[in-house]
Amino acid sequence: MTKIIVVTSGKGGVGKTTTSAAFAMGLALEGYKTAVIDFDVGLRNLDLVMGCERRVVYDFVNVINKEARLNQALIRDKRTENLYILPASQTKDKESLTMEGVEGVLEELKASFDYIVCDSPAGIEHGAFMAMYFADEALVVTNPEISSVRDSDRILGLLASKTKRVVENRTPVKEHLLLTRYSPERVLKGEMLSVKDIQEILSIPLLGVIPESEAVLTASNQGVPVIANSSSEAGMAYHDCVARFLGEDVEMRFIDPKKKSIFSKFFGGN
Amino acid sequence: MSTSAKNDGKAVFDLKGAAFTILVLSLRRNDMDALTAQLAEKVRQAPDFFHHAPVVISLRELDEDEEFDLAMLVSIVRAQGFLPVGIIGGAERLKSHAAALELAVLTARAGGRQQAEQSETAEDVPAAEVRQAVLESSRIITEPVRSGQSVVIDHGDLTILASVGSGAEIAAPGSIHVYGALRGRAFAGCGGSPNARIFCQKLEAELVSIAGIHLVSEDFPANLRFKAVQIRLHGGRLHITAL
Repeated sequence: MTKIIVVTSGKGGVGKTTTSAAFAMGLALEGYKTAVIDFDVGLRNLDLVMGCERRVVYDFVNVINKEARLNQALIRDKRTENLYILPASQTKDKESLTMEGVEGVLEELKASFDYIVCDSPAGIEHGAFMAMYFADEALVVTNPEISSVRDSDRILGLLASKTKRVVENRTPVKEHLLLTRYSPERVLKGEMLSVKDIQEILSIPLLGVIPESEAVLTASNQGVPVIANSSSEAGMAYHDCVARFLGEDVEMRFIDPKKKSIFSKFFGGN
Repeated sequence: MSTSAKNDGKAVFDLKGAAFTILVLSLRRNDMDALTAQLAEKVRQAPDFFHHAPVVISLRELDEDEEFDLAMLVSIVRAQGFLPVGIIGGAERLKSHAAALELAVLTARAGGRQQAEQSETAEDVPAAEVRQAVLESSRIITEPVRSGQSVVIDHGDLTILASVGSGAEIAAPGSIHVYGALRGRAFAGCGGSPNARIFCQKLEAELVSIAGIHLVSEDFPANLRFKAVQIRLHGGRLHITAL
């Protein structure tokens, strides 16, 4: 049974695309046939983060408008077996995403994929609505910052009221909280909301915490999802998240400040 | 003549009529043992609902000539956690007895409703009907109210068994109860009822309002922020007190 996962947040710049790319690759690495769709029509980014921008011929909107077949638009990831990308159109706007069109593409993907990851645009308008409407599960990406938390709360409200599962009276969309850009040191100094604070406000289960990491920016610029960098903390944290999502019991990491070594204590280095 | 006795035009109270939905325990026959057992069973099904619930005891269906122990009845009802507040119907001597027990003697509104109740025979209607009316007139929300959502009800009290997010709005003509953090805006007494109150487990609200009188977060006493509080309207101002 294919599962549709939406990666959403309300707020922009919190790491939805980074998460979509990493999570989709993580699922594919576990052997699941996975498609990741860029719903951010007009502001195409996912192809860059996935490093396939030079191979885009047809896009999501072309498929919806029946200008291309799905197989022509899907881009196979060169590094990972089982991973496919459906890029967004750069020239169209989000109104091109019709309800019937999106449903048609998802139905066709369902026939051959295990997981479909929908990378939602920021905001709560049509594009974000289309990305979440057909979802079975949702990764709510949140930064430890009050405005991001409030926007996530808003999105959770929409997930609970404006999705197909709710409209059809099925069990609601399963929600997962994913905290990104987390810095335990700054939490300790009181500059950032803690995992506990955020969980208390949003009251949904925590899937994982991705620490603030330079590896994320490097990965985006190189077009390699950060999960592929298994020596980086962010890569390891995404790996843990995928494992937890698939039902494994993995202990939370990177939520406590690093213990300073005896040298840094003496010499004040970091 | 002392100054306090002067009529300076400032009334110390208002005396107004108000209608409340109240449970009526309608006794069908004089059988105290069966009543004790059946009432206990009823309460066991919904202990929280009945705890300290005011109740009016209706004696209309009883035979007026039969000997009846009102004091016994009141103690049975009290023992189950109800607060008997008055009786309705019954023989004249029972009415004077009720006054001695400090119970109000109520007279039912004349008209169709009374007629209808009397015409009903052995069906399990009156008690269940009243209970249903109480339930229908209020609403209980078990899920968190998220930012951007608004929950507005037309009748009765609103109870939220979770948190209310910042940017969310809840409104009710009666009181508002939040068994979680109240972070959004709450409007109680929407129809203008000054007796409505707001209760919450953790006060982090953006704005609270009772009968149109409001207070914004900035004006909350700092020592009551993040505390369990109740908010009342008194003397044209909102008062926040710890629970």
